[in-house]
Amino acid sequence: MALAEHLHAGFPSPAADSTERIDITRELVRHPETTFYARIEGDSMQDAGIFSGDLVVIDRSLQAADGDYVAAYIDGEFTVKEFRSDPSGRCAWLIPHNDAYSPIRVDEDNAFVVWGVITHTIHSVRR
Amino acid sequence: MYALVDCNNFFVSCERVFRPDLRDKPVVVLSGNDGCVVARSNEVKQLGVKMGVPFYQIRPLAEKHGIVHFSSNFPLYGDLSSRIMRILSRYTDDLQQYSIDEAFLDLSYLSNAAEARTLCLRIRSEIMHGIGIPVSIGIASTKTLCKVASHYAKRYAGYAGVCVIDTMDQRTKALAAYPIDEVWGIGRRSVAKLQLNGIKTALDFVNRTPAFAKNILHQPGLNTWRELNGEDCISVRDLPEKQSITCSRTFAHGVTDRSLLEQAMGRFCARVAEKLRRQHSVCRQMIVFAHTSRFQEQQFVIQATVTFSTPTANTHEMTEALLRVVRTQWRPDTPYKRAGVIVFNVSPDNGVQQSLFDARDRQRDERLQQAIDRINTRHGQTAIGFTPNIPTEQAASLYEVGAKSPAYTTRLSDIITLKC
Repeated sequence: MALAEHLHAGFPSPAADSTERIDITRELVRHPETTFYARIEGDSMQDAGIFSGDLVVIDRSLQAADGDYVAAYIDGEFTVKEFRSDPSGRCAWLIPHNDAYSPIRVDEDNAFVVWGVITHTIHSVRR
Repeated sequence: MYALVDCNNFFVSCERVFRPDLRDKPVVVLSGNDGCVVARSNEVKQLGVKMGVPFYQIRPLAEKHGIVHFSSNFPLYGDLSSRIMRILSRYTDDLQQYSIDEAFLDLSYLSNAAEARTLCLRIRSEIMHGIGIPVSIGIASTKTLCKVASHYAKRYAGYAGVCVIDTMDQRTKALAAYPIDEVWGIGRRSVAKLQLNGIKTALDFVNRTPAFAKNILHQPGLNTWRELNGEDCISVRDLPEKQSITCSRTFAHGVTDRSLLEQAMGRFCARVAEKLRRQHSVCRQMIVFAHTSRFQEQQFVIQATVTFSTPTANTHEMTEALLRVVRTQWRPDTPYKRAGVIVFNVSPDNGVQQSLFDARDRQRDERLQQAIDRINTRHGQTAIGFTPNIPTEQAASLYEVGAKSPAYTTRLSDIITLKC
């Protein structure tokens, strides 16, 4: 009993050791060197859950695969769409997620680059 | 074996990352304050625009060819630079950063030049794809030869951005076509001496005896000679530090308020002191200046050179000296348009010799400084300091910004917009 009391007085708190916390940035940013951020403006991706005003995380080190949402630069503007390569190999498609918009076909005639792959969107629910 | 990674037209390339429309367009970046050309795209180089010319001199040419110009955006360049350096540090235990856009990688863990080339091609595409900055890479047994190799990597598309100087034959060919005035470490005055001796190319120099090199250019010249001959003997860490550091700005409107002027100049002082500490050096002298517009009939000037009895990099001490100058020379109702701080007589900070009559407690100063640096690293550069912070709304309109692009990667309100 005396021993237990002694422990109570002198034993350091087991919690003092665990200074680690959840670091949300580490989860959202896998490759800090190649990660950039952008703000969304417009509603063409709303059915995919990407809304105007959202903050998106873009990782440029990833290779865009079919079905990825990409930050693309086309004819003088940055945009977000779903990326699909055409089976013909001659062009690619940028697919909106909103019935009011139609897919955009891109080929050599467009000033077009896939700037990066969107990995997360951050949507604020409290105004 | 070393690799020199050198970013192509770095400031221009940084601007193009966020402006893909400028990919093939002529672009220049101007120094913040005086509007001189500090970076040129290849298209601009082909138009014959030289480094350092004032922009107004090339304005007609710029209009004719649609040259797009930017004011320097150092937060952006600094951030992209540190991203690149972090990527590079994954490929070597010994990364020696030489400038904002160049670094040497020690690749001696690889067994041959072919392996080094394969690795460097991968590094190059990783940086191009992941950040959007094109780089050229020179591989060789010494840093001076790496410089030569990267020069060729940049100029000839056939190298795909990576050039190796490995064999004797490659070295001879590369040096024969390399003008002596382009050799790393050979200054203008040395070039004149060498040319007097009939030396035009790097090969001419290498073919002379080491005694000749030492006789004409002394020890540094001999080191360069050895390096061109393939003997590794220059460390970037031994190269001299910057001999002077300047922080100066032009105000959007003349500043008549003394405390606002003091706050702005206090920031310049803090920036300069931080830079000194980062390169582990101290300064003996500091110029403090502020003046009214050059276009006004009568110009008023605050100007003084402060000499410190003990060389310093201490923000508190430097700010005190600055405030003494401003307070004795400041005139009421005078619109100061431009102000700045320049330090010179810079030397390495290896245990400062304390002056006999030094009244300061240097150890206490240093502890305070370290504490402040830690807080500012965590909470932003201007979190605390020795002059009051300028209110944000006032700071936004205090300085002339010119054609500066947004702080795309360092300020949340400046990130790009994706229209969708």
